[in-house]
Amino acid sequence: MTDMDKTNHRMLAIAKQNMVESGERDQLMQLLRTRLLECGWRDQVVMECKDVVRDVGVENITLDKLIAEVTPKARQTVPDSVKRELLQKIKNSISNQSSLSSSAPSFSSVSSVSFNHN
Amino acid sequence: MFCDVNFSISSETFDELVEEVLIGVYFEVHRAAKHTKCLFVDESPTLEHEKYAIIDKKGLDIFGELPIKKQMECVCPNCHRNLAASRFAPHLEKCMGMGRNSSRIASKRIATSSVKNNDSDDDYDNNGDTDWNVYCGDQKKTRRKRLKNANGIGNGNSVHKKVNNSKANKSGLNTK
Repeated sequence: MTDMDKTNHRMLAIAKQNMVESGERDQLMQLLRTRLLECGWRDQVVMECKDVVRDVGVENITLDKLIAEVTPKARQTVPDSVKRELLQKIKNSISNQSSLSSSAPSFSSVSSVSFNHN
Repeated sequence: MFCDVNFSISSETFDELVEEVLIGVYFEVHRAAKHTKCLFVDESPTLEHEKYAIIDKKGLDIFGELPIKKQMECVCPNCHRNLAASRFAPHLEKCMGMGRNSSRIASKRIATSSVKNNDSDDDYDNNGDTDWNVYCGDQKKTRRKRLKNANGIGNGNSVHKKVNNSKANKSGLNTK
């Protein structure tokens, strides 16, 4: 794991912790659930799961199998509008965090190196 | 510049949120599959469905049968015979020997007399009391037997003595 990765991981953890503490994560979670339900994505996923259960058989079905079979397709079929909306909100939340924190050395040091990454 | 990292963080956060929703769905489906029979409940009728389908025709009832009185049958737990339901209760009375007119005592007597011929007369007379002593312990039976015996001989004193002895020991009274 490179230093870059380590720093990114740390920042992700910090950002996540801040979101949890402020209660924003729960709000985002709630919003995501509502959107995914409204657009019918959840029902699609349930249909997929039922197909897997039909194939494998009710006695042999495990959570692991469901996760392995259904997750890739489910991730792909998330509607773009929902994704955009949530990403925007998350970004705002993170920018608010960094603007609030008075001393943020890790942020500024990474920003100078972040050009070439990803 | 800052946006790249920001974007990757946002993206990962979003993926985490979606994963959480997905796990919730999987748990629900898995539970429905394993613990209930309700996973495919909203789908086209199966064989079972057709077995219990509601019938709505003229002249038939909801099960599809004619509205005449049906004879119900049951099996006696004692003698394992097939009986009509309306005759079940009276049959049980006779069969188990608990009704008013059941002659179980008589049939028992016949049975015991055919098994062992050396039964004493006393036993005979006193066995008749088992009718209303069905659940009594042996002690009570033998006590009553002794009392009946005493009565039979006509010795009233001995009866009283017996009663007094058992009660006097406890209460300390001794009138005689």
